[in-house]
Amino acid sequence: MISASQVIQLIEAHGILVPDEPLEPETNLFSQGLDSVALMQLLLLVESEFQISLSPAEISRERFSSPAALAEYLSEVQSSAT
Amino acid sequence: MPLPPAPEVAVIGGGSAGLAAALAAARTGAETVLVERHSMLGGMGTSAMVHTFCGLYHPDTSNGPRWLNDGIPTEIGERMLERTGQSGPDLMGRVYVLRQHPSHFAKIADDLCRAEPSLTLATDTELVSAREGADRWKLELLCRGEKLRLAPRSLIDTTGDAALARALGSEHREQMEQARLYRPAYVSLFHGLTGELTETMRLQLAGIVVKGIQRGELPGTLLGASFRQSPHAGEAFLTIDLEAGGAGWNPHDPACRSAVVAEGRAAAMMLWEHLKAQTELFARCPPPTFPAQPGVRESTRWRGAYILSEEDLISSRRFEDEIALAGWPMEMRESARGPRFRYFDKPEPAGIPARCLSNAAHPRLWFAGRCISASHEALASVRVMGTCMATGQAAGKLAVAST
Repeated sequence: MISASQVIQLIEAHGILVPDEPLEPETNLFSQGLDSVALMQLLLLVESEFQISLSPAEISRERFSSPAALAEYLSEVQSSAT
Repeated sequence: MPLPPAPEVAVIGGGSAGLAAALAAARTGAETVLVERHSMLGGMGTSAMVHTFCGLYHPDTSNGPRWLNDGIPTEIGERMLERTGQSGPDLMGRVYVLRQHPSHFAKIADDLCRAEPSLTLATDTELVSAREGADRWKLELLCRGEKLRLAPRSLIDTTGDAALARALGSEHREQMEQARLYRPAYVSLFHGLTGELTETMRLQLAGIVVKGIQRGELPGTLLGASFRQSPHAGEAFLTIDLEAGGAGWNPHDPACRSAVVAEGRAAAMMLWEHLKAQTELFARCPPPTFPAQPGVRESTRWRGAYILSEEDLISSRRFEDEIALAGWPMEMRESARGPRFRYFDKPEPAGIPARCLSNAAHPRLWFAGRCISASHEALASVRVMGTCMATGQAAGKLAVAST
């Protein structure tokens, strides 16, 4: 299982976003500046950190909308791969 | 039609600031010459294909879009809305942005200029030298090898690079250390998309690019790439923010500029081939159209009687001598990994004082657009085209008032 706090820690530690306030599990990442360029950094990061491979066709606004939503999606990918 | 040898006003640089400056000066009846090195007016908005007008709208979006600066910025915005058939701007994060089309902008600029009998255009013409005379400037221009002389009473530098400060050898200029200069962008235009570039598709394209880079099929340069739908169907603009050699990026070095645009072209072409093979949306696209120049966000600017600061913008400070309003957040791009936005504390505009457009050392000279007197941080807000039109318009009026 990948938790929302792991996702938050990754985003903050690598400066993927510079949020106005500390990220919470339900913070909307797009309103904190997640755009397609930041998304590329985030994809590279989560794939190497969690040893997973994400399919571009599965990327959607919903799955990346918040740290909690992203953690849930990444956990699914991780468990289906093992 | 020959150039008038001794106009009231000469404007050097026909980008969004210079266009507005020349129109504002000519509309008072003053004989005005606008000098532009490319064959099109519009600068970054045409020859670099920067396809969004930022800074045109009031930062308070709660009651819908409102124009921020009266006069030429509003006129150009209204014409662009009409020609592109858009009903209004797009809300991007917390601010309004108007998608624009470079071909429309070039035509709008032509139309606006042709309507002014006091205005003469000198395109394909570069400034070679400038000297300050007792009551007139002595300029040397070059049009494809032909030397021309111009002796205007007032002069406006809208070159974006403070080219006049260099030509005059003026110490009143500022350049950020190269490592921290905002990164340049390379924009190209893709045609023949088979559908709309939806928000989901934009995110999925980011995923496709990442996969391509991981497999070694695409260059890492494309980590700075993003697409935006053109206001016209079947078209999308690709913007690639370039690291441009990090601390080696010098926008005044020709070899450096050549390398940057070549890198941009190579990356755009590889992405075109990749997406053509891998996606339905791009399957029928002909090769992308390339710009005439890179999108330079920062180079050299003038130091005026006042230097606009980050604090002024954040606190929405107003000035007694303000001549234009800034409303775009500071959009810092010190790396090619996307912007860092610093919004004003309140959704209220900040004033730009007239003192940012001139200094005591060079009376009868004004600067507007990207080379006004502002800190590195404040520049990240005032460099956008909507604000450049507003400071340009003000410089045009100031230049005439002084003659």
